[in-house]
Amino acid sequence: MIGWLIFFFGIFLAMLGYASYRSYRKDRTSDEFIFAGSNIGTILGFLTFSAALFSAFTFMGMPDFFRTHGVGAWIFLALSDALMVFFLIWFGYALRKRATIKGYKGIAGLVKSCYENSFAGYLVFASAFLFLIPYVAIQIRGISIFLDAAFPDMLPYWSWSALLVFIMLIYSEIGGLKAIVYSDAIQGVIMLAVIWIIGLTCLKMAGGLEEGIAQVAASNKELLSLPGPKGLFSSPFLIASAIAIILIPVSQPQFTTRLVVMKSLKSVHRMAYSVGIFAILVILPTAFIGLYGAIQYPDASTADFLSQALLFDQAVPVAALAVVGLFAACLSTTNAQIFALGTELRSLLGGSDKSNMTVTKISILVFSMIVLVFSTYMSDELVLLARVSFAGTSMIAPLVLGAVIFSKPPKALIGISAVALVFFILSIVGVVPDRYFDLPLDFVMYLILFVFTSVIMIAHSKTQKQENEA
Amino acid sequence: MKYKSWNLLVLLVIILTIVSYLFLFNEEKIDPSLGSVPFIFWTGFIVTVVLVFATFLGSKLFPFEDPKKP
Repeated sequence: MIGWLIFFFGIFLAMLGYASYRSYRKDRTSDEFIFAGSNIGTILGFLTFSAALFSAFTFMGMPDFFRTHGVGAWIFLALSDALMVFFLIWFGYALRKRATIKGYKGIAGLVKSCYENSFAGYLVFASAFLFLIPYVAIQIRGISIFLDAAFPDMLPYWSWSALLVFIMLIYSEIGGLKAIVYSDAIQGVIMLAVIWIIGLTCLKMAGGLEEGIAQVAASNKELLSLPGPKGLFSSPFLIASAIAIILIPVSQPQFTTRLVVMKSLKSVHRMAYSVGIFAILVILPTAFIGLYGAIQYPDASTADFLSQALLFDQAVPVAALAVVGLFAACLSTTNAQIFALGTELRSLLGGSDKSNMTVTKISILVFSMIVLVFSTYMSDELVLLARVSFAGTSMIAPLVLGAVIFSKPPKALIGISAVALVFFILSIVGVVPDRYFDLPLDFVMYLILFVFTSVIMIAHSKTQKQENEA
Repeated sequence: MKYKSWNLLVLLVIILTIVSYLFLFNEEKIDPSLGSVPFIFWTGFIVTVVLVFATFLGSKLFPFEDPKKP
């Protein structure tokens, strides 16, 4: 096992090293470092978007979700992702249009400039910081749980996280966004290949699809329908999840930046449906792994199930490849998010190009350290924590959509987003309830935000029309 | 023509989404299964594939030019 691990890790690290080397230029500007020359084509674009989107939470969380909550996990993630890629067709266009008119240094900077209000920019940054840090920490936590369970006495628990952050820092600080895009492409391909090898092996070990489903039907029939054995997948939960996931490209800066830096709108559109196909291809094998887990390890803990299904039940080379694949999945999401936080901070700064570049690099280092510390305090509920992160960032979606749609957006959207964000945070810390009328808070908030945002936007566009006619 | 096709596609996607969440994905529903695959999974899978295909169509029918010319 160790021999295979060294072999695959060696190849993986050599590819990352080559990506950093290819991306490094001594005399580059901070724009080249942050935006990779704004020249990302379809294939690299779709791989970097997919790798940033599908992470340790997909690789580890989704099999566990299928195992414990059943088939509704497909609607929860795959269907929501399909809706999100359709939304990208219009949103990619609208964002690029606004970015062309106003200039783009980051979504926080764009919002600040559109509203001519610094608070609006800081609100976007605060939302990204508050919800991406835990999300990144989840990824690191996920890989650490897995590696610690797989190799109990090999390294202290925290050192797996530290190793991951260290590798990420090296290549992102050397190569900037270009290195991250190249490494995402490598990681995306590895992740897809590994998850299919493991998925098919698990399906075979479950006795095939028909036999596997028959066994689940006999042992826990509720896994085969909504809302699942624990009642998680109710309609309000699934609808709120779909909205949170559709709004990921609006409210999570690592995705908005990727849409802007792509070569053309055509590339964005091709990337959108390619990500949709990738989503189906990545999530389907996690259902097979979950099916196997429901039969073989129905009552095991998350860590035990994952280490058994992904590692100990696999052939040695596949298990070694799984470790590298998981590491790659985790790395690609982590680097995208931490780098995005650096980009967003820079977009709010004045100052010279050189000083901004220094601040960005230092901030990436600081954010990494915060994430590292935070990852030791996270719980093991990977998917549910990721969902809280999606929902949390989506609270500022009215603010970003206003900036993208209107040349002079209505300032009321700043207030509504700020109130929504604060209220959502209060519910997380337990100050206000997280259920109203037996519905989850995020579902209720989406309803309220939809009504208020629509009214404000319709009224504003009428006012603007009248002003233009006058 | 492109505007009409794009608007029609958006309308169809919205209708498909509403119908799926409100009427298709009902609780406790396992049958009719497709082979051995339970109802929620195969219908969810088909709706997902249709939406991704709609995204492909959308990329062809989208009526506006790239605002960010090189």
